[in-house]
Amino acid sequence: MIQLRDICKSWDGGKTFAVKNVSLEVGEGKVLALLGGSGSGKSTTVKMINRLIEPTSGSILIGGEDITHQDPVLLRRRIGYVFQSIGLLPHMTVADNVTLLLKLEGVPAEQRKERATELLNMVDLPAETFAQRLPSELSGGQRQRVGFARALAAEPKVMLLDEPFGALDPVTRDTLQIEFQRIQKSLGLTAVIVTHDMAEALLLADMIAVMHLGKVLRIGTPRELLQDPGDDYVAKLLETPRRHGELVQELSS
Amino acid sequence: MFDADFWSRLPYQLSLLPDRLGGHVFLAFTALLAGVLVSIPLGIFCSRRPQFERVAVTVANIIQTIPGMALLAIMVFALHRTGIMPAWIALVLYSILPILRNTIAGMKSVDAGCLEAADGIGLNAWQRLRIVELPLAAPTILAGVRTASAWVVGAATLAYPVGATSLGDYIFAGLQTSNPVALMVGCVFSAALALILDMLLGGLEKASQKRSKAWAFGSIGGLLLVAISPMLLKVIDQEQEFAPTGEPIASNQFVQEKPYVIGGKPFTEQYILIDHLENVLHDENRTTETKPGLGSNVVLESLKQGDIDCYVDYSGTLWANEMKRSGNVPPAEMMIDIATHLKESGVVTLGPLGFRNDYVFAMRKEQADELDIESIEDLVSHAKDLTAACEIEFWSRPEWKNVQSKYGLQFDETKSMDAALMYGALSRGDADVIVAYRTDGRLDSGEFVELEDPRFALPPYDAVLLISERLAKDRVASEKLRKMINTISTRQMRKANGMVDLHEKPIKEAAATLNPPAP
Ligand SMILES: Nc1ncnc2c1ncn2[C@@H]1O[C@H](COP(=O)(O)OP(=O)(O)OP(=O)(O)O)[C@@H](O)[C@H]1O
Ligand SMILES: [Mg+2]
Repeated sequence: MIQLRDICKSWDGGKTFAVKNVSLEVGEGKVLALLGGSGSGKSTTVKMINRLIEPTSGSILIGGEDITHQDPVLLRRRIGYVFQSIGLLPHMTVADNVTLLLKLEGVPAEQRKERATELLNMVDLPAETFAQRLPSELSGGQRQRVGFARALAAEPKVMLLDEPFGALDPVTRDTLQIEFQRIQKSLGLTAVIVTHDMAEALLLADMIAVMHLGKVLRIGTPRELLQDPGDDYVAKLLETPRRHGELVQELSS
Repeated sequence: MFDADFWSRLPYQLSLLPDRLGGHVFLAFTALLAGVLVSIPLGIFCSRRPQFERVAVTVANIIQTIPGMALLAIMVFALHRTGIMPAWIALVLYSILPILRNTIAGMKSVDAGCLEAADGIGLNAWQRLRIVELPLAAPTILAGVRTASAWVVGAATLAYPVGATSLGDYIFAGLQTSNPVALMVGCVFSAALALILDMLLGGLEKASQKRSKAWAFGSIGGLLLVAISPMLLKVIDQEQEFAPTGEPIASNQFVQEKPYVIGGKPFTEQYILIDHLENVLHDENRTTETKPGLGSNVVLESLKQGDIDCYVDYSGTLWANEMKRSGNVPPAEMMIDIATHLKESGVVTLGPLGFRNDYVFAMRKEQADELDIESIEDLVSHAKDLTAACEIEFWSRPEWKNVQSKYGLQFDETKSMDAALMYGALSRGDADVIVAYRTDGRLDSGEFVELEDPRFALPPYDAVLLISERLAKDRVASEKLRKMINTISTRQMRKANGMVDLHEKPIKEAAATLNPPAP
């Protein structure tokens, strides 16, 4: 469904690369996790998928079509995007934020309202309480859910999620991760999810790509990675969830 | 300052308000609107292209540092014309900087996350601007509009000298004619307008901050109300007149194509004045022709048509005949109104020559001293024993009715006689009071005294120098003519008239006795 072929991105005319020779493939209905430390090029990589950033070289295909030949606006409308910075529009209500794209597409108000209710309920924000609030009247976690609901509004087949659960406490994060999984499965979404949390990647992803300094170090299923990290850095990343798991098991036995 | 006199003159000044406020509001609102329409797109453009930002802001900054008056003058020269257009353009230029600066700042202040989200959702450039950037930048932009409005409303008062109507008419004309009432009205209303506009735009700013429709509708409603307030005032105050006034600033490069035609009415004084005007224009090496003896109504019409370029009329005549006005107003106010009115038909009022040729009550000095009479007021108690004489038409003129009603004056007997005979009759005692023309040479014998008119029952007939637009554009010549303002006293004019009427001296000789204007 999504193919990245030898993608490079340089901000300084080729002296340094934020993303270097990245090739990835995400099958239809599958979830790919991009894992890596801060500045490793995860956001840059996903933004190239909906042309918020143009690659320096390489090509990207969605459903077999090269996206560089597509109108970026139409492309983005087909792809749900959850932003690292959330980016709710502060002057619009939650409901208006969620259904903004539908409004632009000319969906009548009545239908939009229904859809907003449906979406807000889906992310566990009762519409009657939250629909008419402004983003400034929400907690950080609630905002992230609104951002998530907004990405789903136009029923995209492809979702890009840039650290969607960053600002959440562990319990909410867990709830939302499960919610995401449920929604993703039921809608058959193809998704790229950016995270720096190995546990999250292991839980949600069909495939994990570990990035470091702009390069993909290792790519594989969660099971493959656990069995054979194949790289010191990857092994180190796996260390934490493994140790936590062992600790929990030890204490409970 | 705020004495009874002030309050009694106030209603008259206020009656001029609808037009002046209207002109002011029209100028300021449309200029502000144009400023908004220019500056906001320019600001948006500049916020995206920093290399243009510096240029645009620098240019706007430079414009802003030009003093208002100078900017207006530059516009007049640039456009080669006076009137509303140069004033308007100057105001538009003035409004640009604050709006431009704030638009740029507002656009830049929009959160990058919001912009990225707008792009990422799939908004196109126009949608992003309309739905995200402008609403978020609106409070800052509106703050700029508010600043601009304060500047524009203030600067619009400066439009007077280039001939656009505004509240500045009160201020400038008030200063020129030392009229504290006009000055006060002008200052109070321009300050009030600025304050109200500021409040309303503040409301709009608040609306954009709070995203409140109620505030927005309230403020916009208020702005509309201010915009139509002059019309409302006009409805309330039905007795309205035209306001535009002012003296054009004329171009330097003037070439006289054909001689200036000097007109005049058919009596001695006017012939002398024609000669005097010719002398003045000849001093500036202008060629002239004369059209003396034109009828009182014809002469102004000729000036309007451009058939003549210059003549002297009398304020009271213009007031009653041309402007069809009856009420009695003090001379200074009358002069402003005349200038304002005539401007409409392209006639430029240079100002009063200094002398006055109104009706005056005169008595034998001897008798006046004996009865202790100095004014018409003093005359009232003795009038029943006195005989008055005048040309027949005076007794049926509104002036006489006005005198009767204002003073309650009732003579024992009123006689009608030819002006030429009046003086002899008074001298001999066949009449005790005559109603004469003030500049008549025969009043000068020393035998007679003129009575004061403390209640302004007799309208002023100040000699007013009027010129055509063509002559006004000749800066050198019209400035020279302007220097004639207030150079001829009633005494001098009377003496010159006397030379011709009594001593049969030629017109030229009489004209030569009048002061030439300062070089
Ligand atoms: N617009 C830009 N101009 C120049 N450099 C950029 C730009 N955007 C990102 N970079 C650089 O590219 C590199 C990769 O950034 P990216 O945002 O992809 O990191 P990330 O993996 O998403 O990190 P984080 O986990 O902190 O979000 C960083 O070194 C960053 O400084
Ligand atoms: Mg990132």
